[in-house]
Amino acid sequence: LACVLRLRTFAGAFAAAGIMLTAAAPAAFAHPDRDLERAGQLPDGSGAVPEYRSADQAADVLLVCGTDAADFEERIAAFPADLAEQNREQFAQCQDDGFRYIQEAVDAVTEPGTNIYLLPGVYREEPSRPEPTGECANLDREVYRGGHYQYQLLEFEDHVACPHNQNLIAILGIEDLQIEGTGAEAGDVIIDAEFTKLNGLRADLADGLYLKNFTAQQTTFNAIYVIATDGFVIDDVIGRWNDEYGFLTFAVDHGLYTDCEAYGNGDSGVYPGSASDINKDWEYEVDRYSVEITGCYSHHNLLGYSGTAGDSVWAHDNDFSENSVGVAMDSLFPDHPGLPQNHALFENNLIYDNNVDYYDYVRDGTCERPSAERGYQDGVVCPAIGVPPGTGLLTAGGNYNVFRDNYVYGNDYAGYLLLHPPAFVRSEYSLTKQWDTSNHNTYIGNTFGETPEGVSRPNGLDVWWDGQGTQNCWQSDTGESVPLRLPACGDEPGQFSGPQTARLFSEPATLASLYVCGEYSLSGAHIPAGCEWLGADGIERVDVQLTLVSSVLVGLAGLLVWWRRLRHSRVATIATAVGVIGLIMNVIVVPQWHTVLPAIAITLIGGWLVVLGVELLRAGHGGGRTRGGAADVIGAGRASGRTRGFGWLTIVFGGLGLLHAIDKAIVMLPWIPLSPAWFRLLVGIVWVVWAVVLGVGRRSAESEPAATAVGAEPRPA
Amino acid sequence: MIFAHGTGPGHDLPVPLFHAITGGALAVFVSFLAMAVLWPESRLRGAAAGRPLSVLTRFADSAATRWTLRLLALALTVAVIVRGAMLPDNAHVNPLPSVVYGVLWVGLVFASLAFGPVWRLLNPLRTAHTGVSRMLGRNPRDGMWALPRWIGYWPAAIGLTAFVWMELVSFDPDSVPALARFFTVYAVVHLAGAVAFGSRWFDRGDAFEVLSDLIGRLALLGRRSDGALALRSPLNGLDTLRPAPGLVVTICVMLASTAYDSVTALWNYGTVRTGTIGLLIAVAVVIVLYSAAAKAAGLIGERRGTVAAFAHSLIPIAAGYLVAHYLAFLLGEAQRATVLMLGSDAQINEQLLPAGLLAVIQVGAIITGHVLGVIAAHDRAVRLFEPRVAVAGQVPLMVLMVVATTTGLTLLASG
Repeated sequence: LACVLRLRTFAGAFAAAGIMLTAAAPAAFAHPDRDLERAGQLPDGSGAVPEYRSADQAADVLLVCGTDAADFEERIAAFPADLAEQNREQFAQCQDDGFRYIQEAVDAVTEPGTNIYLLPGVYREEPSRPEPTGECANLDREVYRGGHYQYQLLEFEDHVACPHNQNLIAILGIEDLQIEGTGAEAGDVIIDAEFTKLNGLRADLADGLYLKNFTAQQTTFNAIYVIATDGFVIDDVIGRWNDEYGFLTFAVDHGLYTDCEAYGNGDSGVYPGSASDINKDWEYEVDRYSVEITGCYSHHNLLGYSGTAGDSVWAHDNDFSENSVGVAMDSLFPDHPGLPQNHALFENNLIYDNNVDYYDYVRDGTCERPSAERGYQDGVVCPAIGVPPGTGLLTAGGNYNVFRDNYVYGNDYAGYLLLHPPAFVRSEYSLTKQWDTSNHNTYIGNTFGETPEGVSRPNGLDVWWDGQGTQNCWQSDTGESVPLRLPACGDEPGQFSGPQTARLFSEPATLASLYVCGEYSLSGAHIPAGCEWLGADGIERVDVQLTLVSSVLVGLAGLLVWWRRLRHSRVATIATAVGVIGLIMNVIVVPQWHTVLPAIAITLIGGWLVVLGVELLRAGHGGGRTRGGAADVIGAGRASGRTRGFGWLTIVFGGLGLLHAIDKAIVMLPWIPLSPAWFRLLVGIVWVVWAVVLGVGRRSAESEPAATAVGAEPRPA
Repeated sequence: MIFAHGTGPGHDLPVPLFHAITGGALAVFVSFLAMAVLWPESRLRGAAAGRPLSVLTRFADSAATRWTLRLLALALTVAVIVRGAMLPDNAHVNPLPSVVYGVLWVGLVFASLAFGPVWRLLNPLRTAHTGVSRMLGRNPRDGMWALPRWIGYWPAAIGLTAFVWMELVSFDPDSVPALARFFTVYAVVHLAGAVAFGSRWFDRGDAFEVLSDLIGRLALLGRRSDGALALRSPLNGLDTLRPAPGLVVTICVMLASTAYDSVTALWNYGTVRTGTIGLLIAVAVVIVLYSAAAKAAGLIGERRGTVAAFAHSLIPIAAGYLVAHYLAFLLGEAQRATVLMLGSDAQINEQLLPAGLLAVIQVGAIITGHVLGVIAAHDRAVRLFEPRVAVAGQVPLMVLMVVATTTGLTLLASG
């Protein structure tokens, strides 16, 4: 599921120096996801994508309609003549032997291959709506509690026994069923749950299901929910105004979404979650995909598309636009079969203008109201999760995904965004699994910042990557990106045209940003301060804050050393001035992370430190020589030995800075498992402490006689 | 069990959790650096420090005040016992569990922070022993034997561990018969100790007196060496602590118990046996980590005895954790204890403090505790070590404290 940024705990674990890694995880990982129900078996893959069936080809035909002829006439008034006539005939027939409610028709299906026709109208399915009574009201099942809602996790048998506990329409175990609206377009037939049920239409173990030409809307979970089904088509169906999803298909194979439309959904428009994991043992080459999505238009949702364990999905020729995030796939949540996510192929899609910031509706309390009063029909969307608005396509953990030949433009934050969640985020604690995702993703042949008509519509960044993972690569004509230098792909997936990287972690400041952004909570109406993706700017950004703190500490420690040891050295003084400029610049240019400016700042700092180190070695050497008085040999030797050690450490610290600058500005260094930033951080902590010890020690040494007198008779503690 | 001491969840904080945790670690680190630069020589004067409060001293030390408080505490104890024995064994009705865990155990921490070692005055066992001794015409300080020095704080360490085990590990900590058994044995042991070694036994043997005494050193109110009650810095209060056998273990049990409680709030440990092992492991881990850091400090600083010498710096840390861990619990249980003692049907307000304020106090207590610990350790280091190694010698303890702050805040937020 696309609950993308619940990364708080994994970063929290890092923040706790790894000590609390396993301890902290279970508590903070209350699962925000709702399709834990029977997160069990994937289909065996023996089915097939069903073919569309005319009434003549159907084994049986059932009609569903209302009874108000005047209303019906009004609805078909604008239809083409022959379609209107056909509808009139069906309406007349339906008055004789048809059904008033869709569920009645579904319940009347006796054989596979039945077609159910829905005549124009709004289907509220009143008989399905009452609260459950009797045994259905007292099912002893685990309750999943979300922010504003709670519901029971039911088995298939529970749904059979109590079909309307959660579903307006329940299709349970019926094979080869086709449900089709007879209107001129999908909006002529509307299934409206009016937020009384989790699901508008639930199809469970319904192999061969074909849904066509209608609209489902206003549920507290999914308009259309297809689960544990091998073979289905969603053809020209609209899913809109739901608390979470327009279309959720879960644990399915042989699926096809075609010409669908989804909008106004608080999580995503289209969600092929846990699509059958048929390619998990393959590398770049695969035989087939389990779900195909084409011709769909998903817009004005929090996410146009989402795919926790959206495995082997082939999405092509779709339009994902004007959402907060156009497309997201991830490996963040437990109990989804087929994790980590892998082998999605996105090609020839339009992914543009995904910039709508719906978090204002969280801030202003709109999303605190009951769903029906939030104003979904007027464009309100209540974000179910925290995501970075302005992102075209986000991958929060996935392998062997290929993104090629898409048009990606006008996304204000980033066109493509890739980040790594370790496996314990999804409650898998085996050490070997922690780096099993965010590897081998390929981005090639995309057109960035330009419409198909050739109009320039730049993205904020073309790519944002956390820098983690093995053999991820991008086309070499990618525009502005973070990091500035990306590993380059060759022409085909699996080919590379430069050094490849395999980092275990992203840089410390990036990790901190991910951590802070992961504190988003809809139920608490909490939008974390410090998260750049959710609006923090300048000093509000946590990476700016961390850089500021580290720069101040390094600066003060460096100045202390310079003042106590090297203020008479002209070279050291000039270098220190340069270093201070570098430190200031380092903080100011954090937001310019897609340019060479941070690398320049780091170079200035690194250069300063190297010079400082060399000068310390020279001074320490000289000091040892001049002090060679017989009585003082041991003390002097010790003192200059310490200074030498610190001098070397300073050179190493500075050298790591220079290496970091190369890594940022010239080429991401291959072979090393961590960014030089990590080594800088670790050495830097030791360096600051040592600098202070040394800086202070000198003064104490100057007052040695008095100090020794005190030290010789330590007071008993 | 009703006595689950839920701590404030991290998201009640006005700042992101990340900032609380890194800010806490940074506060400790920067304190260390600042001390190194700005505090080159020892400034603490221990029991010599403080502004005397003569009126308060006269009032507090008057026999009338002392005996009134003693007898009041004794009477309250009797009342709790009577009421506890009369009412059914149910923590929603019987005040005994609330009084023991909420008032005696947690309330004592807060009272000692405010007023110093109050339990020395209020301890009903001491009062009973003193009263009986006087009636028999004997000096309560006289026992049958002199108290051997090696005993030190060991009885308190054992008593504290036993109590914490009952609270956190035992099968049914709210059970009135279990509490009765525990305190019967406790009273017999300590009265016997007092008969054998005189009332000095309580000073370092009675777990609650020791807890109150150690935490009480952080009170702004303290006893100077000339006997006057004085206003003084908690750092000077800490500085008065002298090493003794069992002291380090006692303090480490205080620290380990909150850590254990936080961790087991996340991990269901299962049986009493695994819980017992877990508690002992927690204590051992704290002892080993602290001892290793203090020994390393001694190696760098070229001094022996550092494990005992720096033990006082752990007290504010332990106090910080106790406050953070138990504040909400105290506020609830103190009300419950009062209501149940009086047999009133008043409603208990479980959220006396707004969640945000509570979270700020909790995080503030942990960070303040560690910063005080760093300062206390620093002052001790510059006094013990030669200047050239005084700062370097503190590095192991500083590292320990940074790690402890981070871990502590993470545990608090996860609890």
